Amino acid sequence: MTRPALLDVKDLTVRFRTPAGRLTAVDRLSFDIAAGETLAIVGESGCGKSVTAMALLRLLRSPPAEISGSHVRFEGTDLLALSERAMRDVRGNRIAMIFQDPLSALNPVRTVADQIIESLKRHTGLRGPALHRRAVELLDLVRIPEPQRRADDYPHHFSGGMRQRVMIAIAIAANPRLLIADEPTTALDVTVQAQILKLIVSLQKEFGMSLLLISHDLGVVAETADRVLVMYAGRKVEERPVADLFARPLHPYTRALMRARPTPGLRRELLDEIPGIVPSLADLPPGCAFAPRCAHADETCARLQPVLEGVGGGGSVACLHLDRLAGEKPRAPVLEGVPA
Amino acid sequence: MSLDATDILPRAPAASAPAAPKPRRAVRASSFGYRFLRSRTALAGSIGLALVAGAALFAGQIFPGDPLDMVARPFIWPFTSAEYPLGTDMLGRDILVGLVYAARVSLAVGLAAAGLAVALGVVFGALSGYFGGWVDQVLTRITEVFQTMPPLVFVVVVVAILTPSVSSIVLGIAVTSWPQVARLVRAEALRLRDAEFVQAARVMGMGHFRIILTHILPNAISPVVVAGSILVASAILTEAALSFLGLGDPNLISWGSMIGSGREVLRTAWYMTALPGLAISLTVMALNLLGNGLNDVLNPRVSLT
Amino acid sequence: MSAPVETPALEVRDLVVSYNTGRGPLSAVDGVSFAIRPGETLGLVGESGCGKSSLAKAIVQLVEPSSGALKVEGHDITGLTARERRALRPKVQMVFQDPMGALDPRQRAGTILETPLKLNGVRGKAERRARVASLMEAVGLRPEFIDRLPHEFSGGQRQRIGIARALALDPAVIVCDEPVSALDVSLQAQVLNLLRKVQRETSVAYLFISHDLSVVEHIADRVAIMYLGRIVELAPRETLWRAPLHPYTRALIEALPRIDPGASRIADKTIVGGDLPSPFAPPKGCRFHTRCPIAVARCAIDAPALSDAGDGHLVACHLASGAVPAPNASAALQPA
Repeated sequence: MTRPALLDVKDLTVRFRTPAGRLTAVDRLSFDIAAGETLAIVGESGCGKSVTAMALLRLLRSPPAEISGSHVRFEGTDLLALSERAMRDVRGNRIAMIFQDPLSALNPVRTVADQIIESLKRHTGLRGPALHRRAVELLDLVRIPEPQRRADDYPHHFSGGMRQRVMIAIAIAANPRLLIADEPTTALDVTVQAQILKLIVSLQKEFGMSLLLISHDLGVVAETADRVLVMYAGRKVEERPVADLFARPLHPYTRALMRARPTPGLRRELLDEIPGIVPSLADLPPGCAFAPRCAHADETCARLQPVLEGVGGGGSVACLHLDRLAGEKPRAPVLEGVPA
Repeated sequence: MSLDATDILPRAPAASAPAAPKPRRAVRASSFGYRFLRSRTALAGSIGLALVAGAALFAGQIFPGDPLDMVARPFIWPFTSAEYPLGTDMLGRDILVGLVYAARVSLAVGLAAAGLAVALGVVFGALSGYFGGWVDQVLTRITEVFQTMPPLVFVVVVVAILTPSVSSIVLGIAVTSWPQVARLVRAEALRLRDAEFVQAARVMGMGHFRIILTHILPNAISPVVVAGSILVASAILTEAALSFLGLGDPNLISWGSMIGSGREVLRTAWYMTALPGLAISLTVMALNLLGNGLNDVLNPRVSLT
Repeated sequence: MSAPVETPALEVRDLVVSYNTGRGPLSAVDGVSFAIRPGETLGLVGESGCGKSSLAKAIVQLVEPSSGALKVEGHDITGLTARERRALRPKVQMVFQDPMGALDPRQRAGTILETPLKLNGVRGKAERRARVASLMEAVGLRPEFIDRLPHEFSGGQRQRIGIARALALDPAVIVCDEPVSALDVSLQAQVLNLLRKVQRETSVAYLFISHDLSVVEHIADRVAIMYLGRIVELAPRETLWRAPLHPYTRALIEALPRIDPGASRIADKTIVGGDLPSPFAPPKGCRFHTRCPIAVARCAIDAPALSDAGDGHLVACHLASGAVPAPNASAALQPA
């Protein structure tokens, strides 16, 4: 990691004021993304991964959300300190975002060309007929067949996968440096998911963008990311280069997640359940948030909140028993599945 | 683009820690009674309504005797006599007693008309929304026929044909107001009939009518309750208008008929019109408050502060 | 094929489900046949629009099939009167995708579980209560949860109630329609394990429908792959995974994200292109030929029949070597 960080987030904290009390959806999260790099944030629903993406672009309504932190530095500028007006110039321009549900993110009564043109107008110097030409080019770039003809269609004429391609075309229209993709393929079928991910990754290379991929799917993350950040209950529990993480997960939660997932070709009679459920953010245990469900936890874990410790290779893990776990034989299912 | 906290927050706290004793409290906090008491509008409306209903129910105990009896000299102005605090009318009848007895008729007409309208509307709406297809086509056309009639004119016609009486007034009002309820219930039934829990009921062999009774109606009832309380208010107003026009039940005293008879002396003794008018306004306002309040109470997305 | 002939828990033969829609007739299921034996799990994999939900609805009699036979424990339920059909209804139950939507938000867990018993003639409140208690125990819900409303449960617990409800009537088959796709990984594992445990104890047969091949690969004994209303391949789980014959199956397996960042990166994968053709105007011949990487001229003309490639491995592809048209299709359809 010698490249300078494009995005540098330090101690990002997002709290929500709710009738049930104040809860911390993201707790002192720090990470960075280098130019051209892909960082994936992975975790289950409610872990704070989507809130993080929203908070970076300051898309959360405040109140109830309160964003704080040391800094969110993007290309050297602290986004937390920017005025709303200046922030608007960053959004969609330097940082673009695509969402899980492309249909609700597109305007149903305007053609897709119009919607791409809108983004081009706001973020580029293009004017006149060049706008439409560029819109068609972008549709071609996201591999929409017959772009010239499809440009004047409305979103409901497109399939789910094609709509997500349109969203991507809008997102890359301004040639952003960072693309945030929040569960971009979760609503899509398996083959279409693979097409879209492949498209995102190839555009990333072509445009030299950085990618922040938010996903719940370990498989998607394993095939796409350079580095992976695992979140649980609003906190980072592990961050590792992708190969290290999947070869040798260290945090008990990461391990448990991998073992809970069916692994094709390695059938086990029963999957390893993670007992219990994710704790309520309004009522987190005082120590490690995963302790109540953790097979390795002892009474210290219930009291002390672990801090992140470096584990080499640029990785870090937040577990009080890291020494013990690091010495153990890795127990990822990939290596120990029970052949039939 | 922006989000509500509710869109992104993991889960409602009540759902996320079911094993802890905590949710028990949260359950109670979300219960109907608790939310009702926390809604000031609903509470104010129901207190007002309870006063009117109390007066109507216990009119005979509070003021024995006939409200149409001439008890004193006519034209006593309000707040001038300790014995007749609200004064007397041009025939020497006690206005306070009249108002209290009239509450009976107004409330009875309002409740009966709204009840009948809700009953009709629920049946039509539930059948047409749940079954869809030709059933829906036929029932919706019928509903539209009734909806296109100007309500007051239609009621006047019905009452004129059937001779004025409480039951003909109730019938007239109910017949013109059920389509609103039917449309509401139809929309809810249409939404619910494809819900997975309804499919689940069919898979386990539940019949259509039982599904309507146990799954569709209980889940469609909130907007109906709200609409019902507003319907009571508008029925009271319609009854008053009819009585004012001389189409009320001649044997009974209602707020509308009091206004109607006070009309002739409006210039000299305006209080005879104003007092029953005030009674109507307050009752209608209480019902509207209750309706709006119930809307908040029954809609869990509205937080009550 | 040496096992004695056993009555399948569910047998589907040449089933067709079509709808009249505003855009014209739509054949959602176009001649599907299979059989599931008691205690067996048949996985059914397909992408959206392939007709798997319509097939599920036809099997649980939420929609009327246009033609074909549907046999439950040997009794054909098509062409029966409503009353006769009602008697067979408890035999086929369903677990739904959305654990919240499948439970009436105003009914307590106890009522939800008691209703099927009431409807199907379990008389006596005490008996029903006892049965509800044992159902809750069977799916790992604590007895004190009986008076809770659906929103007071977590997603996984709600799905447990859904499973308990399906079990209440002692069904021969449970159609599980994407039962874990709305759940997080950790809850997914709990529900999948529960389904397996329940099957071991009751010998119920599952038709397990999912878009996720890795989940199906875990839970199913045999797997059927569906594309635009037709089954294109059906094989024992292991065979399908190790030696898929249909190009669509291969494409699905290739597209499946794998946890092996050293060997499997999205940038290096060959992904089948294109979108699902409109089910209103399915391609002539083999329905996959418009996207198929190995299609030849014949594929656009002839629709390949589902043929036996040996050992109960059925495939509908002209180019699948070894597949011979089964002279006796019904024998091939019987579980191995």
